[in-house]
Amino acid sequence: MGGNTDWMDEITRTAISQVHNLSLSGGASNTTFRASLNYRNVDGVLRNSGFERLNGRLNILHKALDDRLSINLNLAATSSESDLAFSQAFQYAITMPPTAPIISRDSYYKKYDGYFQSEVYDLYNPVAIIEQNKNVHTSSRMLYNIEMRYDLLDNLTASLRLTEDKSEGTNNYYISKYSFYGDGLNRNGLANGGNSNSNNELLESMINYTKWMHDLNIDLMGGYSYQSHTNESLSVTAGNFLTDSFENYNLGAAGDFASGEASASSFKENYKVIAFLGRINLNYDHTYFLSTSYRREGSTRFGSGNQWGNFFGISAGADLANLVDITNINQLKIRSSYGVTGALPGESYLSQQRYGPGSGYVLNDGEWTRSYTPISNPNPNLKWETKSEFDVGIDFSLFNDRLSGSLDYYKSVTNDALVALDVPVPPNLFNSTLLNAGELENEGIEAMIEFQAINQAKFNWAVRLTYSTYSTILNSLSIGNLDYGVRDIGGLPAPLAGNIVRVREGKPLGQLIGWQYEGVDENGQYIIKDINGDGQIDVNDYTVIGNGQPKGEIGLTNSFSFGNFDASFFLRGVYGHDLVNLNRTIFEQISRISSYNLVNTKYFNSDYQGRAAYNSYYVEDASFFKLDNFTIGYNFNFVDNAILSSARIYVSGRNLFYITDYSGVDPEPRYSYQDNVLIPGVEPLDSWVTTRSFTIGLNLSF
Amino acid sequence: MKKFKDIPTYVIFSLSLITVMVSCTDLTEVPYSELSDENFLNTDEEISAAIGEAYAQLRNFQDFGNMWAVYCTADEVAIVGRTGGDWAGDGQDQQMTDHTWISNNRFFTGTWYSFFGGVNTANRIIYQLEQIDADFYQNSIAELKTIRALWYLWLIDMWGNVPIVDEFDVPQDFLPATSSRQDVYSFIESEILDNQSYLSRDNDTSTYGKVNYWTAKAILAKLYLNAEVYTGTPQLQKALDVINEIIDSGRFLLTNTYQENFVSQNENSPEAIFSIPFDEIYTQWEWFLPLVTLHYSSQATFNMTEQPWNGLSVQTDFFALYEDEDIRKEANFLWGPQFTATGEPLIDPGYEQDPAIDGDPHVNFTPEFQSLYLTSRQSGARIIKWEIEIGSSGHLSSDFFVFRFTDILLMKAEILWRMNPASTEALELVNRIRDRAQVEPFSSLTADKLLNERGRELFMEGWRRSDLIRYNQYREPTIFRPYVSDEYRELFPIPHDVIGANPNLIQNPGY
Repeated sequence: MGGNTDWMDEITRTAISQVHNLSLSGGASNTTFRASLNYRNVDGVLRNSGFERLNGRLNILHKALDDRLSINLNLAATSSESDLAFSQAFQYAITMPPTAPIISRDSYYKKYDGYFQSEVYDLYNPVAIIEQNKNVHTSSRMLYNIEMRYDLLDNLTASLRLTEDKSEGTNNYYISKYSFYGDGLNRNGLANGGNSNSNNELLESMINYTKWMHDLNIDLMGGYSYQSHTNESLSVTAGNFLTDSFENYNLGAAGDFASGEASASSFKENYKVIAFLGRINLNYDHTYFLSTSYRREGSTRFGSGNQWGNFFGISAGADLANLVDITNINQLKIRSSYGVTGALPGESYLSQQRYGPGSGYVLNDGEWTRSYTPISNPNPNLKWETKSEFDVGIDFSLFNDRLSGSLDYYKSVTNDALVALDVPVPPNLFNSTLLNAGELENEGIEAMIEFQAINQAKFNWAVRLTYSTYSTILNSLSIGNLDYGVRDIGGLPAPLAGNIVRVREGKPLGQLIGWQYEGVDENGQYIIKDINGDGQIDVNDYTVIGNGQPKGEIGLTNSFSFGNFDASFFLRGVYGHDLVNLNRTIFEQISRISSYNLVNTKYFNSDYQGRAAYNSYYVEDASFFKLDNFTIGYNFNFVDNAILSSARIYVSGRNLFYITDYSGVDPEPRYSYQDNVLIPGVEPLDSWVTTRSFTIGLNLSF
Repeated sequence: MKKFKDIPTYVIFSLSLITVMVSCTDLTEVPYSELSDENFLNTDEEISAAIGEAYAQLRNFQDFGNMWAVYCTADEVAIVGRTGGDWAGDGQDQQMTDHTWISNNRFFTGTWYSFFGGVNTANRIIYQLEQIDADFYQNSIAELKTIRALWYLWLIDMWGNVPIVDEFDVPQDFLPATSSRQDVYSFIESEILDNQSYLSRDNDTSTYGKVNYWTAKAILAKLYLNAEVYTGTPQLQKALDVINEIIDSGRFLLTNTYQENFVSQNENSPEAIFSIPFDEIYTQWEWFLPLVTLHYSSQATFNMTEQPWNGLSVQTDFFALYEDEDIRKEANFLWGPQFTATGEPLIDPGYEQDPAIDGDPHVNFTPEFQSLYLTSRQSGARIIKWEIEIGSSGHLSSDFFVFRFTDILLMKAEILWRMNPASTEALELVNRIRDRAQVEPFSSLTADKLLNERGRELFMEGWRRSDLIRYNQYREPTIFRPYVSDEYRELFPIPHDVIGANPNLIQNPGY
């Protein structure tokens, strides 16, 4: 084909971004205000991607009646325009052969406006994708918040909060009539225009009573909260245009309306969450603490009879440093808590049998009329998912607070967890229903230690180390007769077949399964371990070949100041997790080199001559250690009466380096695949590359 | 700005507002863009839209995803792996044709869900109509039970032993158990016999695309014809009786030409006993055989508005069943050098994917293939049986005839021949069909002649697999499968995921 194209280089760029902030504050004795304006213009690494955002805030605080009444008013407005471009370009930049040219003079490619296309399955010229087509999203958001507090008595305060959060977005999508990607050529230009808006309302009223009686402080609170969420959308898709000029701004010009190929959709949903709550906090002599709370919460998203749930919490603690006077110990607090919280399903209406126009049309007496069909398997028994969590911990601070830290152990059990499960067909219409079927157990420790290593007038150095571990065990996914047992789920993408994860009750989440790789034979085929020893290699030889869940995470922050200079860096590591490197399974195969680019990592083995394959050779340890962030700055000093009161200039970098054995795009753990949290540990084909970025900033205060 | 002394009233007002809100605990969930049980099925039009769904789902039989199970396991057509990687993924497509499929082959899963989705829909609407007024809707309920019997006719043929579910109002954790093929047979038979008297005997616009009395009879005819396969006991006389009733009704006639049954406007064909209506616009993406079968470049042959996918091709042995003068050969297939609509040679821009295999860039559909798993982009005759209009999008407007009068005549010939191999009436019936196809009449009948005449005439009408099994030819070697396959392949496996979700199902033997 004669090309020599570095596709990744052709679709990416060194991206420059700007951020500008302005804030002011002031006021008189009873009324103060704060206002700020923020402008951000960010270029994406993918060419033709990026966003621009303007954000304004105003906060007014007014006090009256001898400060017994306070009114706090917040207004915030944001508007932004994002060029989302097409993230699939990354996938095709990896798979497009470097021998393919970007542009071809051959008259055959005139129909693609001169862009070369291979015309094989799932392969598109990534430069054409981003240059020919448009995917822009605009959004605006207004937040109104007013909070009033009134001291009815010295110890009794009533408060009322009203919030309205409105946001609006528009989609502006157009695929050129010359674009091979996205059906542009087939549809003779394809436009989508739409908007969506959401409106969230909150009303919260509280009564608070607090009083010291000798050494005992009593703090009582009771309240009510009402939330209503409304989402609406409208979208029109139509193709067949005379010209690319209109993009999505003249949908009526589409030929699809006459031919019947245009489509439109609109949607509205509303759900409410209402809660009554109460809390008692007791504090004896700043040494013993006891707190209990209760929440009765209801939501429209559950079946009738299951809408209300009761949740409570209790916690207690004691600061031993107040009891025994030990030198150099400033704080030694032990505490423990137990509480139950609830969670909602992510969608409304799932408890109801609902109908909509389904398979489409039916011929009735010579006329095509709409037919109506159920939208999902209804679950009238849908109820709250509950999580009960136990925590015991210690906070300490030693040597005049130079060394401080905390250590926590927690264990939680989630009951009636909301999971979309495979249900039997027949009798069901669909093979998946959202059921309260799960029981999960989480356990782990969290530790933090902070040390002011050097604390002098000219030089400061502080170190902070965090460490956490976690494990998730799936106790059950069964409900009634629907026995889950062991299932393999998470289909591999075509052309691969089979499942990625084995879900087994009583075992940890994230067991990656597949064949065990043992080498390549003389015919260029994989040698697979015959696990059950029956002389055949089949699904019965699948075994656990990886763990999709990390075991723990470690973080290290160092901050320095030296005279007017300051610096900090943050190192972070995650260990114990494996990732399925899907790009390698499909594209690191010499057999596919005639059509697709070869992914060439250290694992590439030219001895293997077979098709796209999946086995333990493609599951990699993705533990890593990375320099997340590094900042260095300089502070200018000014004399008291100067126009500027302070100034700081800084340089910072993100994602500066990784130490990892993983050969894919990004070693970060993946907690879900295909939106399913039962399938952690898969790096999808269209992963965005992690970018190294540098920021130069200037802060000025007047 | 308010004066300070006004504020306490404002505070009192707010506090009373709190009291009002505290009493607000209404959690009624209101759907805005969907209907709920409360606001659906209240008018005749709504009830008709609900019943319509049972018919709309029948189109799933021709759904792209069901193509492998319905068509590719027989000897008619196949999805072959192409150079450049198209259709040549994990080999599951080809395993359907060389009978090496495994129980978690994705195509079985989709087809199972799709067919039992049809059963669920029929069950639901029957239940809903019974709740409203079982007597008033007796005729509609009989129609729905006949549709359900048709789904079970396809299920008994493909899986044999399947759960019989005829109720909708079951507990959420209901796990239906497998019924034997014999029980499924009896279920279909009694459903038809119990309900046929409520079905219309008319055959006009009002019943077109709807099941009527004659559809029910045709279901019975298929069931009885295959009774020996399904139950071990032949029912030839019963089959002959229902077939004679259909023929003697005089409502159906053989058309003058073969092709008029497959044109875009085929709804007036007097051969249609039961048809599933399709339309390029109203049923877009529900039947698009031209897109599946034609070469990418064939877009220019038919000036199509969408580019075809270069998938389904006719198997070499099946193509060879047709004599050259058989008008059904040219009606069904496209082969040889290809040209654009204006007569220019058709060029494959991607031929250089693998020049050693792909050869000349001028597209030439050869009826032969290099192999099932890897062949050139141009190999295989393509399917043009249903009319591809110039300038079309590749979505078919022809209606799909599930039961066609020619099929009934050939079934009668087969039964008469099975009862008496020297039957002259059987020979005459087959020769009527051959005469229309402009091929020489047979002088006598054999099993092969009958089977292959059915094959040539009913190509891709959904019966080849069933016919091959009845003639005990399903497992015989083909060019793509040069060996006799195992007997258990005559039934499909219950899909892996389906058994995973329902332990009461029993896997078919062999899997």
